Amino acid sequence: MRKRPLLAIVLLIACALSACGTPAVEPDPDPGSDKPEVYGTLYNYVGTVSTLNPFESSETAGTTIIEACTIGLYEYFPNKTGDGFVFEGQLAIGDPVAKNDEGTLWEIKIHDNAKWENGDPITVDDVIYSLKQVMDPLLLTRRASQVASEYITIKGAVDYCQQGNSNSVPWETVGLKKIDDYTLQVETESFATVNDVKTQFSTKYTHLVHEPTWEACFSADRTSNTYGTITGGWMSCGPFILTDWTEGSQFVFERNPDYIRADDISLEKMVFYVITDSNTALEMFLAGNIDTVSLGAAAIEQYEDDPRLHPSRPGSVTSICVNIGNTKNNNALGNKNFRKALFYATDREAIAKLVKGVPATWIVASAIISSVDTGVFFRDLPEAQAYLPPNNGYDPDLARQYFQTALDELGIDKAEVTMIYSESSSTTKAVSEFLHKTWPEVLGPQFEFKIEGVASSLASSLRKSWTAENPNTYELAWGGWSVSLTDVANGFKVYTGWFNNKNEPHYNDWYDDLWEKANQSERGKTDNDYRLDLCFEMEEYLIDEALTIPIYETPGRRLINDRIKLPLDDYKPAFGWGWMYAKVVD
Amino acid sequence: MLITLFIIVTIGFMVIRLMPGNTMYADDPDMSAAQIEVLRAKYHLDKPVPVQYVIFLRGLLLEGDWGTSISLYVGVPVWDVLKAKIPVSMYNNIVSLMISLPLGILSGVIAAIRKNTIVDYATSFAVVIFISVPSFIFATLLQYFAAFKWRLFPIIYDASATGAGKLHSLLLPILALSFSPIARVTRYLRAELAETINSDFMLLARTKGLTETQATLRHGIRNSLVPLANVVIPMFTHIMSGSLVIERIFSIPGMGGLMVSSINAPDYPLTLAILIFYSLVSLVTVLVVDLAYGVIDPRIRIGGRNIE
Repeated sequence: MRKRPLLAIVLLIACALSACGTPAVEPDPDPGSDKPEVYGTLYNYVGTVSTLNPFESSETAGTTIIEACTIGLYEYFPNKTGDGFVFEGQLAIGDPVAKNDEGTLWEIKIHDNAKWENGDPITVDDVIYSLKQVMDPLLLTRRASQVASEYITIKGAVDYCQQGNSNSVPWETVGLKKIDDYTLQVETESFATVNDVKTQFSTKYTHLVHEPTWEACFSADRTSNTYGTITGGWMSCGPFILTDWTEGSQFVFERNPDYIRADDISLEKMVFYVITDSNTALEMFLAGNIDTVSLGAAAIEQYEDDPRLHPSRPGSVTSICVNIGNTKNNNALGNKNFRKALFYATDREAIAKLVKGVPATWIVASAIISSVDTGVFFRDLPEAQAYLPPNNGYDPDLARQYFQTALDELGIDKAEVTMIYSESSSTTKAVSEFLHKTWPEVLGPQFEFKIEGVASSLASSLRKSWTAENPNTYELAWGGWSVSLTDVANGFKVYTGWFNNKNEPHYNDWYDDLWEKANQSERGKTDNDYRLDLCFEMEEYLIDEALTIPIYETPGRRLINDRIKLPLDDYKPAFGWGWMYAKVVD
Repeated sequence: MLITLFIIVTIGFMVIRLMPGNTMYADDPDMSAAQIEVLRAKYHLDKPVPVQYVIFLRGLLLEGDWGTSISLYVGVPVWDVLKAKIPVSMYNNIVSLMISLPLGILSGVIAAIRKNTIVDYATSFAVVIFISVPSFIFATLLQYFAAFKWRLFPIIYDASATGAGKLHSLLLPILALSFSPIARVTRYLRAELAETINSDFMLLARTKGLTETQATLRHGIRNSLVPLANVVIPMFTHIMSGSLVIERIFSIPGMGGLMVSSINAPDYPLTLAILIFYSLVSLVTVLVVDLAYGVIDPRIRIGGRNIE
């Protein structure tokens, strides 16, 4: 009898140990079976995904998840030769067709065999309903203004989505009409190209939502909706069906046999774990639990020669935003020579070594392409390199000259500047400390430089909250824009006078005019060489003015398991890695 | 307790709302100024902070409305978010506490009874290590060795597991959370008990014929537990703060990650609700400890009646 408790403990331990080991990885079906091209599970990971609502999602990770299980009109697909991608209809058939000479009336045909996961057919009604919801004036979703007006401005859409509860602008005035069950008509405010229309309807926030499910997720006053959230419903219709979602933990997808382009999909299943700690992700990869991992700066050296390493071009330039409206030191930061002194006092090469990055003296990030048709990167164009300063923009003598000139112009003996950085980012902290040491060394005792660590949300808020009445919310701060990788001219909008979310109080009519010519004029939309010339001009101006001081870029470095064959050799801007189109080859 | 909670809520609300640079959707490059204004009006962010506070309090007290998430889980009632997250975190924290208390008491008693022996020295050494090293270091080490190297446990929390499987996938984070509390209880109890063992009433107990062990178990420990109750308060909050980081390491979908995300988003209603939740837990813990005094030591109960 006395041995029974001991026996129970032994049994308990045995039970517990039986559950030990790595998470079960189900064996892949035999590649030689009836479906040789459709098998295998991809194990991947994403960061935090709070919502799958395509109209509210703002997380990068959310895009991966949403695009796997929803459908839009246009999308990027790997080409048949495996060396590039094509921009084609997903739900749409072919390109939009212009119905007038002004380029303001368009028709888009959609497939008649698309279905939701419950079997409901997808028609133009679903497309119009989804676009209506994203621009709903009471909901006012995060993406409303982008859908109303970005690459094209849909007629009446801006007024509709911003009318609040006045009920003064009926939906019927918006330029989205049903011609028949499978034909959509789009009317724009001004001239648009085929590519403009396609691009406008290729983003995740124009993807479809399932009307009955969406309606069931409305609050009583219809001002909020829980679709695709922790408490709301969800309906898939994309390449994969979301079969299991444990919020904050994992997503499980199964191939959707009813997906219009089901033949493009080779995977039977995809599992995305939610992992926010980079070390944990690396351990998961090395243990074989996930098929890919993105390497942080600390781990790069260790895997530099690993054949599984796939680099990717950086999509943004880490820069120092300059508050040119700050009134301290007689508005020193508003002085061009003062800013140029900081520009040329920066040893970018040393910083790049510190952060395992690439020194950058430019505004347009390396991943941005000059044309979707050619796929040539903007940074690789000789014209885009011609105006870049030599020696990665590091010239201490020139910096001192600019600094002295600035002091003379400002009528001050000494300048004191403070830079804020996010405490949670070890990289910006390290670079800030480096500048704290080196800038005063270059510029001399007349330059006093302070750095101040703050919470990342506060750093972001301070950078944005300057006004004419309160211009001194910050002096220098870290920033970097992630703009369109396929539309180089569009990205320059962040320095225009009308852009509301600016980091720097920069207002220049000449610059705004350049931007409008490149993005809104008929020639800008149709003549790519002209458009690029304007882009060169805008970038050269921004570098010369040192409105923002570009410092470095961080290329992506990703380890990918040998058992995974990607549709393209490497990461492609706009297309990405193409996880959905991967094959399991073991 | 309610007054304390009210003060915490008031200060918390004001601090969160009055943070410099109170901009909404600051990270959104393409939202128009007009849209931002309408959104701010929708969530009352355009009103003076005291008015916002009154609206918040009225909703909370009269309708039980904690507000709506404005940035992370847009449109979802904050309470619904908390309801999904609290059980996960509390499971870890409570299991950790349940492990820590008995193990800490046991090792404290052994160290006190075997005072100045090799057992005592070894326990004291372990106590110093466990108190000095932060829990997230233990978490990283456990994850690396027990999960990654030896493959005894999953590297991250297994969301699909239930019952024993769930406990199995949470054992490493729970252990990482428990080391420090075990050490704290051990250290405290050893010191208290070592002093109690040498007191006069223990000598009397032994004189009456009780063995050393009997005297310690029946009289010594009970007397030493009263001051120990003071340790439980910071211990539980210590476990909760430790789990903020540990949840991230083990990808546990609990309150830890949520708090950091809501601050960074920023999602004011969510941050405030989490703050209230943690404050409430701390206050309830204090109350429980106060009540527990009377259970552990009847003299406190009786003394209270005499005063009345």
